[in-house]
Amino acid sequence: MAAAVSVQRADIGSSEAPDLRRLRVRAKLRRHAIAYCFLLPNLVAFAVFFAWPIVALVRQSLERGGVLGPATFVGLSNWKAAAHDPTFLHSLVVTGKYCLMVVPPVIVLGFGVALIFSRSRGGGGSIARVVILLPVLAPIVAAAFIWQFVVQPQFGLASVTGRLVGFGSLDPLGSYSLALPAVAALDIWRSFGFWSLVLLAALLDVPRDLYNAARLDGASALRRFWHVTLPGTRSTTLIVVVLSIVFTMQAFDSVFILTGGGPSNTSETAVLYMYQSMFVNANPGYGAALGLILVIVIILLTGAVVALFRRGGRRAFGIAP
Amino acid sequence: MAAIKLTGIVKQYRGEERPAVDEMTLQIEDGEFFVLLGPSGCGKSTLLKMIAGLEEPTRGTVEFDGTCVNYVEPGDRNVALVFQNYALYPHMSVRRNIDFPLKMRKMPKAERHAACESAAAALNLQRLLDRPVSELSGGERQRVALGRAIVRQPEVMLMDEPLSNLDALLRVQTREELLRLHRAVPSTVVYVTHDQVEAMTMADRIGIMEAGELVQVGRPKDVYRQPASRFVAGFLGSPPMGFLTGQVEERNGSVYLTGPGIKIDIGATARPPSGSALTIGLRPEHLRLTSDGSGRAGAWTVELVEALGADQLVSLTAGAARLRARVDATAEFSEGSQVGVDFALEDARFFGEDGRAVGS
Amino acid sequence: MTAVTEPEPALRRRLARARPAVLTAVVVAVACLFAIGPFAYLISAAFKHSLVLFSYPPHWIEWPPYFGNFRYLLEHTAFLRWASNSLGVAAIVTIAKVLMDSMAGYAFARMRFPGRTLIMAVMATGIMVPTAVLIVPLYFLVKSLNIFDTYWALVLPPLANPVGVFIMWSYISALPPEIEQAARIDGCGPFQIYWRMVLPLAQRGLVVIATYTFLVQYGSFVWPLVGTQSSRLFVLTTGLSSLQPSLGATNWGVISAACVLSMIPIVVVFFGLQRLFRAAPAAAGLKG
Repeated sequence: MAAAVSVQRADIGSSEAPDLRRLRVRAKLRRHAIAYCFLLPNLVAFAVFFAWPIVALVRQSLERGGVLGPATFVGLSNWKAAAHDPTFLHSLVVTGKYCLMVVPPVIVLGFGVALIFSRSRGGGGSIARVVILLPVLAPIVAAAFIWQFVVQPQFGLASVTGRLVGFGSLDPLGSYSLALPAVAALDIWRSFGFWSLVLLAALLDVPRDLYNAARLDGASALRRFWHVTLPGTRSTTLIVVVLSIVFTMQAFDSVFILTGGGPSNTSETAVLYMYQSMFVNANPGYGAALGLILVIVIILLTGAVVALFRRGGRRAFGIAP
Repeated sequence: MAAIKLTGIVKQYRGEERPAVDEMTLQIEDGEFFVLLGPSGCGKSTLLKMIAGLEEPTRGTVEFDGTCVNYVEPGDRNVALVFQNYALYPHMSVRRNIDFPLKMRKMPKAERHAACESAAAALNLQRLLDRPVSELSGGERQRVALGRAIVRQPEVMLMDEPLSNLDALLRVQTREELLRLHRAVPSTVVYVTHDQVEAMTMADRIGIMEAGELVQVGRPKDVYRQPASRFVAGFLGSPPMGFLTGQVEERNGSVYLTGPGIKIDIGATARPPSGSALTIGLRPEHLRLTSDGSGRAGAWTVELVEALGADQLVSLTAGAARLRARVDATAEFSEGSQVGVDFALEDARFFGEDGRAVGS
Repeated sequence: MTAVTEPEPALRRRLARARPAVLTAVVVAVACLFAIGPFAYLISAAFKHSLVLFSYPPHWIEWPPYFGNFRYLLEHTAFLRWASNSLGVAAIVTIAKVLMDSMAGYAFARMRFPGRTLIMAVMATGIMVPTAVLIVPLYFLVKSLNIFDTYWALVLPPLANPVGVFIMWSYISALPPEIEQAARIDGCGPFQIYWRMVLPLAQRGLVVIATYTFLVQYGSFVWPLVGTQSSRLFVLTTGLSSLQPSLGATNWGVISAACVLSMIPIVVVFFGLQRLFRAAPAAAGLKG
């Protein structure tokens, strides 16, 4: 072996030759610079069109006025007002109801359709998979318009069927109790196809041998579903549930176009109320506070759902961490 | 061709307790076929990556022909690396894979074509040149990886366990081919493996690594005969060297190594003082079995006899101690019988408590 | 009178075996009907004169089909302009995002640099902010940048969406690192590795991003509504909504025709991208 150069086992750099250290630092800086070059377009776009608006929103939430005259700083009064605002709280309730109306049916429908597709040879057939995606592709305005064909009081599908059956014509969008469900139905129709295909991919990934083994063990179809299908698609199902909750809570376009929050606030979700405050009621500071509260609520809820699912799911399906 | 000099190389990954490579100093001669041998996780692949330039050493220097290349990009070092899973470009044909390094160096098209053809010829790849890489078998992919490496005529050829994904027969064939190539194209080769047969058959010199440290360097024969530590002694040789641990005892002018069930005459020359712990290492091929129970190691019981054709392996026990002997197939040994185990003193190796070799 | 006899055992067995397949087919058909039913209604309305729609009992199919709605749409509205705006904006944003997000995804997947964790965390929270929340501040921003009511206002803000970055990060992380290492040894610099190795091998990720971005952009409504006001900048969504005045009679037939036409480009693009996806190599098969 060559004679060893005595290098202490002390900290880096204390005995390193100065030009070597210079080269090392230069190489490191070069690496960092390259990374930032790759990130630059996204960083710039994100900073300008996302981060800055959020910052502006925060600042705005601490102010009042600013539409006709200059804005005045009012501290947290907007935030405090939001906590006591009955309309806001009502809109939160509406949002909650909306989530409950949309997410479970979408998941059940999506999973059910995916399940049936997965059983059939060819995964449901390519035509069927194309067809259920069509509502997803329709631009929201078109989809809402199409949906009006279902809910239109005079010749919409719902009311025509109602009349044929003897119920008399219905006007869901004008009724206090039917407006929100009508919008919910639109969002269900618009999204189940997409989630269906996502779940289908996960279902097809469950190894067939697990089902065969369960069948040999005498498990009924229901038990096979509970003990093989659900655990096998756990991670995808979790993502689907979380994402559909997040998207539904954020839903704006469909309500905005179909009902605008009416009739008299029965379908006014939180996001819609925020929009009203900012644009219609000319109270941008208050609207900003509402918006930020909403963001915080969504983040917390998402975290809670993920945590709950992780722990509860594991225990329910008996899978070790 | 380049001589490689590693001085005080340390690689410490953040968050890891111990360094992957700990204070390694090594000199590899120009044109040498150097094999880095060691068990999985000993840091040999990490060292190879540092020579290639894919990783930066935390401390220490890597020099090619005296120039420090620590912070030189791998593409500028004139090295080639054959990966364990070949790492061929899956979206390119064989020809474009081999052609790629030349293209990156902006070699003119005609020259590239010629170099490609000659590399393909050397590795018998001519009829596969325009096939997509995904259609090739493991052995063929191996050769493409080699082709991509030699086409540049690099100064240094690095190989990271290139044979481990091949089946046994192919492994032997490729070993010979690699040696043939090395003789024809004399670059410095640093070859990493955990297979001691590859190391013994191919290396000009072997470097044995354990837990990030270089434990011994030397020619295969020398390392085999004079292992510097118990670890090295047990790593080389198949079947491996047998070890017996006990205490030095002086009795009636003779020095013995004693332990539960064993009493071995180890001669009086330059032994550690009486009472100290000692381990003796005996290679199976150095043991002779006697029918009368006589021999330096005393009487042992035959536990198992395995026929290997020309030889046979006899597993022996004495109390809790075990040994294996490789003897000629002519003698007959029955399981359960007692035999004497003898050996020449100069064939035995001795190791202290810390595992290092002692004595001459 | 003929006695009702039970089907023979062989036939009964065949029926029993066919039962699950028949059930499956029925469910599939129902699901498809649910998805496509409203479209059918739309298409039939597009080829009818509006007044016919109000007739009761309902007049399902009009024959011969009435093309007046389409003619009106193409001659008396700026539909073609809206369509070209939508397609143009969506295409530009999609191409930009494919490049930007793959570059950023590559940086996250393969490079170590100060602030990496922070930037990733901040971008991840970006996914949870509803776009509606950002509309108003974006409006003020766009005004102060002097790009209000321009194409820039339509094209630039969507570039901030961080979803694509994480999708590419996941696809690129799945690629075997040895291939990039081999490319480094063969003399490739970082951008060359990105261009020659990462992009071709992560094609599926690129298609996913393209599909997602195009879909979102094509159907985007609220921001084009707020960020522009001239009718020359109308996209399909804002244009369509302008056809339906809040007061006064709605020309159902024309709007139906508009919806039908607006579905065509997105369907074509979407299925084109799907075919690209299937043709692209999957990361799993890249072992050697």
